[in-house]
Amino acid sequence: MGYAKWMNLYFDLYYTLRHRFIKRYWIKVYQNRINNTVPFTKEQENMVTDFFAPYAKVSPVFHRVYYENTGHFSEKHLPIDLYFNVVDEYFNDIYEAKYLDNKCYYKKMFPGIRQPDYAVAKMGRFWFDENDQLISYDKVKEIVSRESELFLKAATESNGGKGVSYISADQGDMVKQFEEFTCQGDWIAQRPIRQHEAISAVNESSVNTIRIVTLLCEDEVKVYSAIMRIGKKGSKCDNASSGGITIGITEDGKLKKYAHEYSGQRYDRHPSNDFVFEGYQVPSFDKAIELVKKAHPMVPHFRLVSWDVCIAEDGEAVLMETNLCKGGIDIHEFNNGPLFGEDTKKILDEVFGK
Amino acid sequence: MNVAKIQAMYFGLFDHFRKAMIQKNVREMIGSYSDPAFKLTKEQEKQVREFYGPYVKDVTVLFHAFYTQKTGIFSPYYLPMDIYLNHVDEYFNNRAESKFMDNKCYYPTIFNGIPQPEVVVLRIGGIWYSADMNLISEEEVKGRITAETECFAKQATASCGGKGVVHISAEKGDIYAQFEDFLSYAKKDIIVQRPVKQHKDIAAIHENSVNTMRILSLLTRDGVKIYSAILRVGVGGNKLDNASLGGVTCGITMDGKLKKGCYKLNGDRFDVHPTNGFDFEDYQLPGFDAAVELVKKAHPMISHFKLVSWDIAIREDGQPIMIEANLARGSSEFHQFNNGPLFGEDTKKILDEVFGK
Repeated sequence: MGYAKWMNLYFDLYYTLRHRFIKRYWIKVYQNRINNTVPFTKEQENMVTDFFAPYAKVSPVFHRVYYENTGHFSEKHLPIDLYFNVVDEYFNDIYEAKYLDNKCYYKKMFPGIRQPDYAVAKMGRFWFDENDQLISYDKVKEIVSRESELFLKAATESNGGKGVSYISADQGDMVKQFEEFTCQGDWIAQRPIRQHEAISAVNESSVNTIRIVTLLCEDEVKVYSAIMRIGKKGSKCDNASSGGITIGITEDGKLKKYAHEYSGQRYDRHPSNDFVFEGYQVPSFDKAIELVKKAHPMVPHFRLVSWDVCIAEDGEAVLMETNLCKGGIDIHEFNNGPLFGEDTKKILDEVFGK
Repeated sequence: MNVAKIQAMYFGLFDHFRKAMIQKNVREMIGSYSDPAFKLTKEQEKQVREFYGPYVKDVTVLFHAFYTQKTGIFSPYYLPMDIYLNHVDEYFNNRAESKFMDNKCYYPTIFNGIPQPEVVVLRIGGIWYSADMNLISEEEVKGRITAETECFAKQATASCGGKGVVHISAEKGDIYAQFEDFLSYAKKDIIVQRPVKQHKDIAAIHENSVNTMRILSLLTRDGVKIYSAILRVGVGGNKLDNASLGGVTCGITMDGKLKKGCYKLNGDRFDVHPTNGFDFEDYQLPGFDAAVELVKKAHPMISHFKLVSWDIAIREDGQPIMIEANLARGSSEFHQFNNGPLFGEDTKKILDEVFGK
């Protein structure tokens, strides 16, 4: 047996174990979320099993939790384990994403797409200024001392608000706060974005971003779901996993009736400021869609991408972050129903080569 | 023990075997190129063992013997290939990332502002693009290829040693048919470029191939340091200059002059070009300083890779143009044949850094 064969066997074993681990983990998470508020019938269970029968054996626990929290049943919801283990890996090169999904690379990867500017960035042990010139650490400190506020972000794998820190001259010495942020690998110091005042009305303290899922097809970029992520009072982060809430956005850019917490708990008004969501028009939503449609063809090794877009003061869309793979789907399924909606069967057929 | 630890152990074990295999393979290869009758003196062997002893356990004199017999010059500072690949390169470069980033389709984006060959079309992730990165249909691809008189079609990744680069031209017949032939086996990303017209003084050395300079640079906190430069020259009318296709390499001095003699990949030395008799010695290359400037400008653009080999051609107008970057695992042999130990006087300093001494 040749080297390549051994290597494949060795890695296949690892991936098989990893897939099993992911499957077990997510099923357990969702089993703990079952609250038995509405009965989940045998018939519904069979609909799920039948729908997925040609593809894989799935657990109906995800459908059940979505049903209990939203009141809508659909067999087309994508089980989260199936999404991570099969769908995401089919559309995206998850190994390449580990390297390419680096905030320090965004500026080059998405030329012509508006993004927050950075004051300094650290890439592979070297420091760069906003014009991408190599600079010394003394120069870095000098630049930082001139800034009034900065977001310090780990450039890779900063899921769920971890590895993000907000520093400002109001809180004390900029350089001292800057030096307290430690992060292995690359990181970036971005200037804050002033968001559109109409979006601040939803929750003032956080930059409330729009999360859009797109699929790159041969000749078009298809938008499958859009939601808004809203921080809680006083929180600078909007992430659902750090306590924020999410809400669906209709195709014409209006908020839906209910927002959901990470666990599925729903609200018809903002829990801390009583803002009523339903019917609220998201400003410049069409510009956000236009931005992702323009940006997606720039990263064609990743066909199913989640984008975080923010609407700036001047009403223009700004790209905050991309998730080239492993973008969460639960937030979409809770708010907008099955991720791929009517296309679910068509997409599963493609993924499973039917 | 958590998942991350088990994962690290699992891949660590794999890496251990991978490195052992690389060591075995390169030692076998160099053994096959070497003259078994040639032996280093006891004193020379002692110098090698003393120099490399602090860094690795199983020091071999095989590589030093190889370079000494091919060049006639002994130095304990020659970098053995296995140490270079398994330690030095892995320390300076993120090998795993290079598998993805070292993609010719990404060059125009990564090296924005660095002159590169003109792009006709690209295919990334199965999707076709024009040079300005707009989506185009297969019909348009056909139109664009057919409109060209000659191009190079290249596989964008792992196209080491000229494999996966083809020259297609209207002169040889239907240019699109030749392209389709290339597509039939090029499964991944591809890039189609217009040929580079090289400077007449470089064409004079061997006119059928684009003879490129290979420059090795190290990115340090104090800037970009150039460690070695050679010229790769094709032989016998071959369009490609790669040493692995039988081409030869010749050292370049820091003031841009060629050195005496040239080497094949296996270390065979020739005083003059083996097929056209060109005498390299003291030949002044045009645009060498500009090529070095280009490398110094481009290297900070990919700071995850600190030891990079650059292929630079000189255009008709004397301006340099970047043909390819080898973000990891650029060859070390032809540098050492022509220019001596890869890191010269800095060898000890660099090994100390790599091995954390």
